[in-house]
Amino acid sequence: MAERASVAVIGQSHIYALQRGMQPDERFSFTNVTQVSPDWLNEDGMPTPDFLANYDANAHCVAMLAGNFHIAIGLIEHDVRWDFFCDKSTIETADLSRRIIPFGLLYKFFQVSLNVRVLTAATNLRQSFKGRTVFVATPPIIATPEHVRKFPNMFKDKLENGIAPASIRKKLFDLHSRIISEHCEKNDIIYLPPPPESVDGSGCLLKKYWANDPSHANAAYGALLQAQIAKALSL
Amino acid sequence: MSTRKHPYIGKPDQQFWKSASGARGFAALDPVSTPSFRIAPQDRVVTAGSCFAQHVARHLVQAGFRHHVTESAHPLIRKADRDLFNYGVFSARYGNLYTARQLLQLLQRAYGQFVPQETAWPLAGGGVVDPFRPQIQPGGFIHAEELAADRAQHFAAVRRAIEELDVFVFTLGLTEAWIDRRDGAVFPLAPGVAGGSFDDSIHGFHNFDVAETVADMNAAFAMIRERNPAARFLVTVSPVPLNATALPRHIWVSTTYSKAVLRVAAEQICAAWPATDYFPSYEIITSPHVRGRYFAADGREVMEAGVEHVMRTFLHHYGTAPASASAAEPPPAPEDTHLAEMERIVKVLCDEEAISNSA
Repeated sequence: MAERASVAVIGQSHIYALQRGMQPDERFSFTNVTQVSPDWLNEDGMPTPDFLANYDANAHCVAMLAGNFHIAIGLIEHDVRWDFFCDKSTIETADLSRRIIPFGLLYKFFQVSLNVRVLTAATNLRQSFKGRTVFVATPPIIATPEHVRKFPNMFKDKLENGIAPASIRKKLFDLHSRIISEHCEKNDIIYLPPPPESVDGSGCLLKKYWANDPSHANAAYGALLQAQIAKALSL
Repeated sequence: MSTRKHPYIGKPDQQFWKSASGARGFAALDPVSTPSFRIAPQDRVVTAGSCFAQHVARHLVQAGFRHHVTESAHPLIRKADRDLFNYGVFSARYGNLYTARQLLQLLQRAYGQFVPQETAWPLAGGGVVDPFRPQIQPGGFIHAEELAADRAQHFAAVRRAIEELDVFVFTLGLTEAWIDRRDGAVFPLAPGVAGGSFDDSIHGFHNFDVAETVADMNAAFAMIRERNPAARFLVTVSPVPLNATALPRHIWVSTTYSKAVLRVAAEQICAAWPATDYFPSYEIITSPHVRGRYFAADGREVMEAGVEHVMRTFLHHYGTAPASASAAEPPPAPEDTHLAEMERIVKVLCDEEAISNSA
């Protein structure tokens, strides 16, 4: 029997869906499937030598980085209600009763925000591992506000501001994903969008994959991810 | 015994070349005579005009004047990005208004009195730009619908600026312009330069003269006073030479024509309107007293020292409080806390995910 290929899984909280859904795999050995400590990167987005020493440099790398930025931006309403048009989203309209932020400006805002912690970090991971590097998309939004209200977790004290409409949150997810996928394409990183079977017709996470909090996916979703990653690395 | 008698006897020093300020040192040049009003720190100052007006707006803020910005970026957006997308350069995001006709048409469009046929110019790489502010949005707008939404917000901001201002500072910049022959709409840049494409059958050149410039300014000021009777006006002429001329002659000849028209027009406008002053920033920068030292090596760009001279003079005559001690200066907008707070929550939430995700 051939030796299983090592797969280093590096990321933040969305990693736990994968950890919990992990099934035995004859081809790949997933290692360190746990959230990285905050100091794993230096200020230039380079993984520290101490951090990399925990991994096999010949391994494949799976990055699941900072998937919650779009949640931070848009789950809870800002005092100044806003919306935006997004040309490559399933939702292309905007609520004109809100302040419209030009897409180009919001794109720039996301790009700068994601630059060091996500984009540069992903590129540096690509260069730090000899195997392929796969970037796993953040889980799609949970559209139903009732679920957020039921499991607000740390957002509990912010719910009075209101939960942003799902259409806006979906566009933010699309923008977040687009910036990362564009970066991956330019940097020889395999970008994995959410598993197609995990989303409804609007691209939102199906109920059976919801975790008991406002933004994460569950073990069943993690199992889908594992299969998706294995397939990508087998090609 | 005969006594010499002629009209110049007893006139102030400023009326004589040898004794006027600046004659014995360019730094002392002060060509302002008698301002008809002052600007208090709490007065809302709205700025518009050519690119030189950007310097005016910037220095007004630095000097503690209340630059009344009615079109701000959403509070979420960082300052660097706000600046990049031209928020706060002028009171609203109209970009440079080079000609008096542009100012008039901006007001007419904002109040629904003029709807140009051109609404969006396509960009080669996709997206569109606003024909009337083609460089306001780096990369352009993603589609005409987004541009229309942004324009609606922009016009609301223009109306607010007009209706709330105390002082309107307008810098006349150019007389040469490109117009839409179908409806007379004036563009700040020739079609094709920063979007769209030039079509001889639609786009035409026009060089405004004194009468047209005065008529346009009169109409614009009338619109403003109609909505804001207490508005005071300061008119300036940009000292920046033309960057290009569409006429088959030396650009300096076109520049002198353009500046002469604007200077004469400014004189006539200020004579016609109460509480309306001409401020001689053009004279400070271009005066023989300064011997060209306020222009950069390209002979066109105005150097910061020149702008500082202009604004020092401006503050001396129009300010009512020491420049650095403006008690009524609104505090700078605080950085938005929403995102920082949400990121903190998300971080805690994500840490918590390690122990509480039981599904």
